[in-house]
Amino acid sequence: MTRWRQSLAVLAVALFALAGPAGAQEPTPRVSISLEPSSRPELADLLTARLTTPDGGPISEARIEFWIRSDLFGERYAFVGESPTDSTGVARLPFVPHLSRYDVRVTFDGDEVWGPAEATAPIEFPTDHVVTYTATDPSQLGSLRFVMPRIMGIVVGLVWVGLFGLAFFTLRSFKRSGSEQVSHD
Amino acid sequence: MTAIHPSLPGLEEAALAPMRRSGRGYRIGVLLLALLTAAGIGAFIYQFSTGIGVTGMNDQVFWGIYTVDLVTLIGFSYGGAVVSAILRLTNASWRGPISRLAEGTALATLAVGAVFPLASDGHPERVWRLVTAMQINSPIMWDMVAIVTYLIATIILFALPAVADLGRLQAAPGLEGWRRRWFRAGAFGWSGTAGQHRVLDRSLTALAIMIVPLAVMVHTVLSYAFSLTSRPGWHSTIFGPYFVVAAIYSGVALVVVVVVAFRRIHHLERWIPERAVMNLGYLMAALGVLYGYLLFTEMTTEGYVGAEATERLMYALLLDRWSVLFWVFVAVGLVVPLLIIAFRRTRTVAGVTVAAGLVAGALFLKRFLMFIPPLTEPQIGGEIGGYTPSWVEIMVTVGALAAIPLLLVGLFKVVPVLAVTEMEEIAASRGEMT
Repeated sequence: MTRWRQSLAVLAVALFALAGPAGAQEPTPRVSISLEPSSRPELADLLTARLTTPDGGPISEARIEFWIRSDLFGERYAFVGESPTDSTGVARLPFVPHLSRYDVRVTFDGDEVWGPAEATAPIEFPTDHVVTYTATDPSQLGSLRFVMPRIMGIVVGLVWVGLFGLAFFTLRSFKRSGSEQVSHD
Repeated sequence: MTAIHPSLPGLEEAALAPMRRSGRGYRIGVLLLALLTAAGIGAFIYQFSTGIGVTGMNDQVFWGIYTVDLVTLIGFSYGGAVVSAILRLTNASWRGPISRLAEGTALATLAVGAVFPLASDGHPERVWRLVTAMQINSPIMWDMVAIVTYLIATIILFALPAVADLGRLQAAPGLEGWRRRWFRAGAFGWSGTAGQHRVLDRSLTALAIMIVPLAVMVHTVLSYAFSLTSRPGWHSTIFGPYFVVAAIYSGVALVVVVVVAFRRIHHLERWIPERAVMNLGYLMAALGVLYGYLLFTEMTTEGYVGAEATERLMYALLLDRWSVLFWVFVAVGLVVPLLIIAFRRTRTVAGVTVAAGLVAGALFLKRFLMFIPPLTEPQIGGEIGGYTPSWVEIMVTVGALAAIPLLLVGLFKVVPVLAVTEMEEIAASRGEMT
């Protein structure tokens, strides 16, 4: 009887051991987002994501993707880059801001040990680090974009008036001077 | 005030020759042209109802043979109008017998060519949006404005001297029925007084002065549709003059073909002298040399810099997949016509006509080489594009080409083929009246 119980126990442990890994879910790590502003405005700031175990330990060599919220082609998160975590669990992505605030999302797709994780947070950039685009026009001809087509329109209008006027007055002159004396010698 | 110029014996009859009942061969020819034109219209209607997917155009080659047709036909029209205008301004005495045919050629080719922007459109029924949703910074919009302006000028250039001739010939023998009524109505009171001649002369001179820059403008703006893009092979500062010279070159060539065809069919040899055809031939040869020079300049400047994409395109044109067509153009469009006109033995009316026919055809090929190969070169990714015109495009093109002689035949059924008033004026000024 004891041997029978021992055999059942061994079988149960073996089945548990076999079924266990397949049935269990990978633990979900924690991910957080922050900004490491650059020391000088001309250098890019670093978007950082820290990936940790549930008890706070770093997860290294994990691939982190960075996204920003965009309304280009519809509201969505646009992919901006990816970076692996280092030995402290931190992934960094150089980022040049064109706005002072971005909604940033970081995602970790998971691996054979850890499940997927993601986090979204608003990130404020130092105002003097924001690079704003200004239209460049070295030749200063851009202002003609407004004026030139309108001048051309006036010229074309004058040409049309000239052409129709020429035809009209010529034909009217034919009529008027048609009564003069004619001879075919 | 008294007038005016006595008539040249036999000129009235010659000017009205195309209006007489014609022979069987002529009628069969006209019927064939009508059938081809109808087939072209049918193909266009099929494309309109089915969608532009029935053409060979695709994502990469988004302009096909219709664009080639557009530029070629407007180029043809340019030659006719400018020949007439320049010869008037320079007071060339040999212009008289060919001016009406040149202006008619300009009108017919422009009327047919102006249809092609519609054929290139996926939704031609939305053409009115060019006006209601006007984009005034778009070269395409200005293309349309330029073409319409040029069409108005060409109609007036054709119509004013034609009005004088309708008046001059309204009492001509052999003119009966509806045609006599039409001549009387279309004469606008023209009776050939000195005052009328003076007004007509001044108006035509003013119009000739206007039409030359207008024609330059049309072809330059047309070239902007290509050269204002950053595509290798198109983005070139030489494109404006290149288009203008190509247009006059091909236009003069077509005028030669039309003049010789009407001269032969309607037995106008007495009125259209060999000298007029030869002079057109010399003009064509001079323009051919100029066009060859522009081609050489374009190739050397673009090739010397050797930007990667341009170099790829030039290799394809000169040595690779487009090279056969390119060198055929150089031979048929430049070298052979020049040789024909250079040698006395081949410098005959027939020779000049053959040369002109070769130039007209070769310039069509050149436009194909200007537009299609640059589109096949990849801008994004590395895949080379391809383009083969579909049967619909070929049918529309054939129909359009057939419509030009058909329009000319129709035009000269209602308008004298020779500029009688002008010819009499020239003859009077040279003391040739009998």
